[in-house]
Amino acid sequence: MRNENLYAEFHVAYKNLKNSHMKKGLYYISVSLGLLFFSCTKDISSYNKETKRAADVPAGTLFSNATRNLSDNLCSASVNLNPFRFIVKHWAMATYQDEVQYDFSTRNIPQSWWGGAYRDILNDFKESARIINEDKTLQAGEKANQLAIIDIMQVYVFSNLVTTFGDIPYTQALDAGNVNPVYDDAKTVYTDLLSRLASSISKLDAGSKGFSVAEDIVYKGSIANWKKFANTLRVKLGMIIADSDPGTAKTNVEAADAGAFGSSADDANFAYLSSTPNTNPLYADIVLGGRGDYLAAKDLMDQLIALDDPRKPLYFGKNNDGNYVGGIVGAVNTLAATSKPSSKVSEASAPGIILDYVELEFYRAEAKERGFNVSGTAADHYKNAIKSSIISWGGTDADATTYLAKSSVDYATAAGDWKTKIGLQKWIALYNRPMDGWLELRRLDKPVLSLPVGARSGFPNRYQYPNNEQQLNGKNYTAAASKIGGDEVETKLFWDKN
Amino acid sequence: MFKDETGNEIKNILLGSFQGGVSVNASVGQPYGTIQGKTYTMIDPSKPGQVIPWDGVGQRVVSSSGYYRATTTTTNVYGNYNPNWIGGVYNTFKYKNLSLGFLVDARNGGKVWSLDMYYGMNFTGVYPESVGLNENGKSIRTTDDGGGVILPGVLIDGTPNTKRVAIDANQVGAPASEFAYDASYVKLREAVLTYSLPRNLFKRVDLIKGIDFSIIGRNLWLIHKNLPYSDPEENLSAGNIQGMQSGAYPTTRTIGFNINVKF
Repeated sequence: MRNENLYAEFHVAYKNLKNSHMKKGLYYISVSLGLLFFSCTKDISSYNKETKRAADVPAGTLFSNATRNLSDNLCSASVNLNPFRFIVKHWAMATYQDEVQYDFSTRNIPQSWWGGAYRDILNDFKESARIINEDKTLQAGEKANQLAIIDIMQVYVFSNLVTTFGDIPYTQALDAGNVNPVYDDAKTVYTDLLSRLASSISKLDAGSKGFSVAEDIVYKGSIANWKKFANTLRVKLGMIIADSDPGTAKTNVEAADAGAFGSSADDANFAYLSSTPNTNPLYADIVLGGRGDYLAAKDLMDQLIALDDPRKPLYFGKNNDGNYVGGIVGAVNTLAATSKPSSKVSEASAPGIILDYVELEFYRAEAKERGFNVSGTAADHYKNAIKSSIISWGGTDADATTYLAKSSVDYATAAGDWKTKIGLQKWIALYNRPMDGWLELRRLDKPVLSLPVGARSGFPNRYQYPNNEQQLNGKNYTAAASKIGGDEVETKLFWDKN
Repeated sequence: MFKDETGNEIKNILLGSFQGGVSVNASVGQPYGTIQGKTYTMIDPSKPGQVIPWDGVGQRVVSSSGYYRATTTTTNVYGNYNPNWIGGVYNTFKYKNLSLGFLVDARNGGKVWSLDMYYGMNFTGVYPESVGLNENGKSIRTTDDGGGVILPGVLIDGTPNTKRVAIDANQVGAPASEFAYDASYVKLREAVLTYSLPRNLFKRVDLIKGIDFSIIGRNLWLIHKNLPYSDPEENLSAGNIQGMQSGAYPTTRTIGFNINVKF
């Protein structure tokens, strides 16, 4: 009985639902259409207003962030961004040989480097400068110092782009209103960078403040140090064009020599922290990333062994048999049989070097050899460079003295001309400075390194332009590519004469 | 297409860019969703010593490494992701209390670019194609002892390529254009087998009009496709960015059971 009642009730309810459904159908449709009209608004541009976005970003924060991004990119060992350790044959790879064999296109590496420089570094510097310029509360001297420091850093990054790609967007770059910037002639850009640098150096005034200690992660607000940095950069930029334009090189190097770094204490080190996410990128790449397939390259390892270099155990660890063995660059290497980068390299708080005394002293030695009027002797600068390198890697004075006394190291007795001597020692000292290692190899052409096994091209003298530049800025890309003589990695840039 | 504030005319809008220099674009004069990237090269007939993009017919240029030389240009068109047509046929056969329904779906045309094939063939060497013997009966994975292969093509001076290369874990050395495939497919999307209980089993319960038991299977059979190892319908993304495969999963096959009680 109970069951039957339930069925009956259910039946009735079901029928009612069915009948009412049809009649109500039209009503539902008209109501929803009505809602559709009512919910419309004539002015939809208000939706573009980002009401929850931070209204202002402090200029100092943008400055620190840009500096950090620069340091990150220079330090990184990511195969998506920075394969220069393989190009200079300091490191080899166990398994994946793509980047090692000069395949930069698959992972769009030039795009990451380019985008990193323009979007993540230069754009932050530009925005920081804009805010500082508009800040009426800033004291004039402080403002001038901050703007000069930003300008010097921009010169650093643009010069890196010029030496990496050749012609680049410069005068029309970083303008959101112009999505098709033209590429400017590399040499013209370079000349402008040199004059910007000279002018910014003159604007730095140690009597006023710069960025605060917290904002200036490199020099903690010291204008005196920024002045040394800028002069060191000027020596470097001068030396880069020493082959192509010796006159301009000489002027710049001689003007900047006296004001450049006096010791390793002046180095431009980005201070990383020991805790994530503000660690050295190598800590993330190697330790956190769990990558054990970055190996010592035979080319560098054999030199370290031959010269009994005190930096050997500081640069690399031992293989499983307790020996120092380098892997062949471009070939598949056995993990257990090959040395890996030392734990010092991947230390979380290892500083990111932006510019240092070691490279400056090599430049000074070279400048003497080229007849530029700088202080000291080539041999002394060469000695200083090597000694500072050994000590900053954790070696001792005694290590350095023993090493420098070797006839194969001593500037007076080492083999070859000055280019060979300086080239070899600079290549060793620029370990973990992969971008500059590449620059010096192209500039000095010493030491002569063979191509990696299975190389897909000749030695890369530049990066190809990012793949998506062809899609995004096709007309200007095509013009630039044909102007520099083809968008190939082998194309030599204006300063690379030999 | 349109002009920006400085009067520059934009001829191409980048919809998405991917590894290997491959991109999906909206370009003037091309169907929407054109897939572009690097391709093989051939010697420029009018300028010996220079290369132009391969026309699909001539001899491809091999670099001194023995692997194919790709263009520097990434604007070579592989095709576009739009199908010529898509369609399906649904049919049901009934016999006494049994019925069998099935849906066959088909897509004709359109391209899909496979990063999986690009990596598998060029770098990781996990596909069966990277194992085998050459004309000398030696392994193609090493150039030792007469192994390896000679890729058909010419050097930049026009002489035939004679260099043996290994088709191993490292590289086949094919430009990205090699891995653009026809995305057509024919698949048995769905099949339903239904058994309806005879009416006399529940004729005393007048509320129930019928009871059906069904087994439903979806994605049962990929009848035809031109993309190796994966389902061309799989896509990295949707919306504007289509025609890209990266880490494609196999399509999920589902088998379900259904009881349908009609009141």
